[in-house]
Amino acid sequence: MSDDCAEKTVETELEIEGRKVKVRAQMERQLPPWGKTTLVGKSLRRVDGPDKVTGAARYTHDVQLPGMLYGKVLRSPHARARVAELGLSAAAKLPGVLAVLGPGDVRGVRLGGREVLSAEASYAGEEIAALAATDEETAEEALSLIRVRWEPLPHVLEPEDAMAPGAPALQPGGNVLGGGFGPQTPGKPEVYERGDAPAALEAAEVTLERIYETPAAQHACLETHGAVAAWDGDGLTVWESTQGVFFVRSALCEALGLPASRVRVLCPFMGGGFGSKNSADRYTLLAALLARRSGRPVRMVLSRREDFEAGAYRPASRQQLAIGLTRRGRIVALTSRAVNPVGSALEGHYFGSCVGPVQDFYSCANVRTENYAILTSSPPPSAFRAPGHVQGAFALEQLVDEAADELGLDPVRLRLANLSANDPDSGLPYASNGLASCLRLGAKAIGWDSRKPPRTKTGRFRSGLGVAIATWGAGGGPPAVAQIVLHEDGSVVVLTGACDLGTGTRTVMTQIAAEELGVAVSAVLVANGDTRTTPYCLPSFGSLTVASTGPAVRLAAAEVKRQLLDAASPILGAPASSLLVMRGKVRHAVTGKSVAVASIAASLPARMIVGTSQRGPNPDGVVLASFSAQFAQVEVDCRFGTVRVKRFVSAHDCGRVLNPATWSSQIQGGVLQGIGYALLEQRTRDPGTGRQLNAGLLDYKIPTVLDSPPEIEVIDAAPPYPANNIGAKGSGEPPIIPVAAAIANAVANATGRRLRTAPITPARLLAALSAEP
Amino acid sequence: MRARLAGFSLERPGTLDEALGMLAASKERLTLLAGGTDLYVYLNAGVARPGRWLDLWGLDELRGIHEVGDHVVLGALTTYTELRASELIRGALPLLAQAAATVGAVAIQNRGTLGGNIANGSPAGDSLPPLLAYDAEIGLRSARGRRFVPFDRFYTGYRASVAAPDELIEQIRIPLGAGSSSRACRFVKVGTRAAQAISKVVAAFVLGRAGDGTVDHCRAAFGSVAPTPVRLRRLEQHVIGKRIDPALIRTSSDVLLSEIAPIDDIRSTARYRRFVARTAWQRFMEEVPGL
Repeated sequence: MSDDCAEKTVETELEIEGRKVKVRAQMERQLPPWGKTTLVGKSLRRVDGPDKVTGAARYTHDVQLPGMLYGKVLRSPHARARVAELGLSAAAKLPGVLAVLGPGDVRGVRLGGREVLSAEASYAGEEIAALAATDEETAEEALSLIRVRWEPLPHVLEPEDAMAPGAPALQPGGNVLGGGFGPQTPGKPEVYERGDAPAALEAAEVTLERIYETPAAQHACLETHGAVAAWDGDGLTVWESTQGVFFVRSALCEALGLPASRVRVLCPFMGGGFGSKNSADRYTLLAALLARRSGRPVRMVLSRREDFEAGAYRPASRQQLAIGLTRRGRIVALTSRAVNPVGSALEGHYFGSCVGPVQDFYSCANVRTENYAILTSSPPPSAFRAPGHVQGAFALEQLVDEAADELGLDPVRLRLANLSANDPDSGLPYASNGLASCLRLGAKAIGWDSRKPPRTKTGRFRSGLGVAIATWGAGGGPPAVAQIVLHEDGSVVVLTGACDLGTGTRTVMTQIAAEELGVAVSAVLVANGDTRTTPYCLPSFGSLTVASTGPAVRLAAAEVKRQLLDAASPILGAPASSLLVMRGKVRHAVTGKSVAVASIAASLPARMIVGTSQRGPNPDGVVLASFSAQFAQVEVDCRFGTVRVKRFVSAHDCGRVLNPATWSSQIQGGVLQGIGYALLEQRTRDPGTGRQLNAGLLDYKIPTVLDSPPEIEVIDAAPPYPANNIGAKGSGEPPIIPVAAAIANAVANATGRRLRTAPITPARLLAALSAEP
Repeated sequence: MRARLAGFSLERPGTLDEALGMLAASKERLTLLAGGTDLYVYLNAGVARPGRWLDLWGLDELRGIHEVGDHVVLGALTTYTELRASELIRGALPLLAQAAATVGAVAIQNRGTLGGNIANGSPAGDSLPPLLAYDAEIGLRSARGRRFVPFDRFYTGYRASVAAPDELIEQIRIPLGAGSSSRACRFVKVGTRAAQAISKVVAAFVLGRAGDGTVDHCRAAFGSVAPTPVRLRRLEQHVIGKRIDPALIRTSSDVLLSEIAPIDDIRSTARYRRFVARTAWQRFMEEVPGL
């Protein structure tokens, strides 16, 4: 490393998907905050936009290799069953089939503590056998030739049944686990406590206790999960639609016993992950194993149906919350008992927890949460955009509104009065906190002062306003390494391991590098997502990509600039400290004498300048979080029970906005995804077989643009953020957290009825309005 | 594609006569392919019927929207896009244009055809209630000749029709006055979301009144509430000769509920469908212009 501060390392903390992680970090060179910027903060068009709209961008689905085979998986049709007999020979004999694998062929190849092919299915959709053939149709036909004799076993789909006495034990330790990323506490719930919540509830002037329920919701990424694997001798190359190439690599190395040097994982472009593509999955390993067996590259891309059935979803929840307040509206106690059915959750993966908001949204001295993760005969869930907080906010942010109604207080004021100056859990101050501004600016934009109580509303169409908030750990942190190469002609390559999920990572990194280096955007190319050529970073998850990799890119650019000015100094006959880079030229600050960047690079013995830097530690003694307040205006059609979101305002503090256009897009996308969660989306299954009934976009409805309000107004309410050198926090997950609660609160304001179960379907709303025949 | 294509063959007749000849000569029942917006979905889901497929898409004889005498005649291959764009349809048969606008997305509307919607026979087909409400007749053609079947007698059960194996749908014929602007009309589609959703309930209503204000013409047609699209004849008879008032709206709603038989399925429940069907009818009646 060519950093000034090399060698010295410290321990630092970062928060990923709601969990705090300690890592070692190397101290970084301190760069002053940018003054006036020319590129950062501007709505630069996406640098890869033309490639995407012309089809030149190559996604995993587009990868075609000579001799490539098509891999397919046989999945269990039963929610729980043992494979008594597996007949693979007819499939293997079909012309065109070049490799067939059953559980016996891949014994010991494991992922998340489980075999990649199972002789005992724990859910409908579990992988039992895999094969590869010269074309997709032959592979499908071969699947139909596999003979399985099943011995069905008793299954449980619902958590209440899994917790009931006498329920079949789905694993030896029983069906109850603590939640979070786990398993945390086998046999017991995960308990969090500060103060004495039961006593404070008992003593509170006003208490409310309510139950809220949320559905299992699915990611529905435009690009389904998939991988293409090819061997070259002992070396394995895998194209994977993933959020993190390095996590995929380590999963492959661990499962297959390969050194990292021999495994190359690539993902230059990908079509959405939302937490479901944080690492390798079984299809990745099966593609690699089938490719090894057949000696040919294998493409294993899930069909839309498989994408729904194979797992990855936001687990459902049932949350029993209680709140204690003073008559004047001060929150004195909060409790939550949350049950999350987590299917056949994989070790070390997301297990489901939704008690975070109760712990960290409000200043409250007495909090107790009890989180149960319950094993069921269902596919494994995964992280999904703000895992846990979306479910938790739906409950807490309605309960706070219900308390406001009970006390006759304004919901915005009640929230403002209970915001916490410091992180309620640790007591440490936030590095920056714009939540109150989010509430104030958002309320103004939606016209909160015109909000009227439900009793004033009559007629078929009733309008209502609702609010909800979010707090989310999104400060990013190490490890994240960036390397910048200035070539002899003055062109620049930025190398980063970060995958661009479609959020604009490549564009924003271009802006940071070009800003710091003083070169044109057109001179910069960002190459990313390749474990062989780009340096290490965490996956693009936990709203951390910009706040982790961004500072590393700025440091690497500063390092290249330092070397560039040193090289320019003798040419211009002036000390490096008197020089600056502007519009592709190194210029003397006073005399204006200049030399082109290209001619400096070409004059160097190495013909290039390389700068490599890594993200330093987060500051100690402060908590890093992004904040949001959202406001929904809905119109309820009391005769059809439908809800139209007429306006939506989303106010955010995520530090400096590097590119307003890509930032607003990300927020609007989060809001739209939240509207789906609030009003449309839920997995439905056949209780007899456990098979999903709406496994596909035909029947699992995500919102279209016609379901969106005409405008989703995005407000930047950020105070300056000093905790990293680009001043930015994450904004990927906060936009979805409060949406469903804001809509439910608006529906309650419109109708006077409280919908405590999501999604708010017409049938549920009509039942609440007692309008059913 | 989930289906193995080896089991399928596709033939592409150049003229209508050639197509009719192939139908007449074939021992097995041929699958007729128009825009493919249903059949390709079945193919992809692995549930398409293997065998010989006849691609009708190139038969220009089956295209076009014309005024012929006192009828509007639509070729079976008329697409939803053509229905939306046609001045004749928008003016004379507006429910058909409105229904066409709610089918799938633009790409589907460019390929999907009126004849295909009829032949597919889904009870949720969006263009079917307007055809019922407009007294459409289906022109069936075979090498043996041509015959017209009133659309409300076309289906014999769930996805089953009177069309013989050697017949194809050539045209749809609708009386010009069916959508007369002196009559009130409405198309209602209720899906899970605002667009690109299969209907939970779809309906088309046409209502005319005499000079004294009594109802002298009524058509109430529904989809997704029975095994086939249905005209509610008892409901229609119930309101004929009466004035629209709250009592009639109430009593006719009871008739409506007795005449439909929706089911629970993945898209909705029988209970919600009954409620929505009734509410759609009530709203239409309440909002008939001039009340």
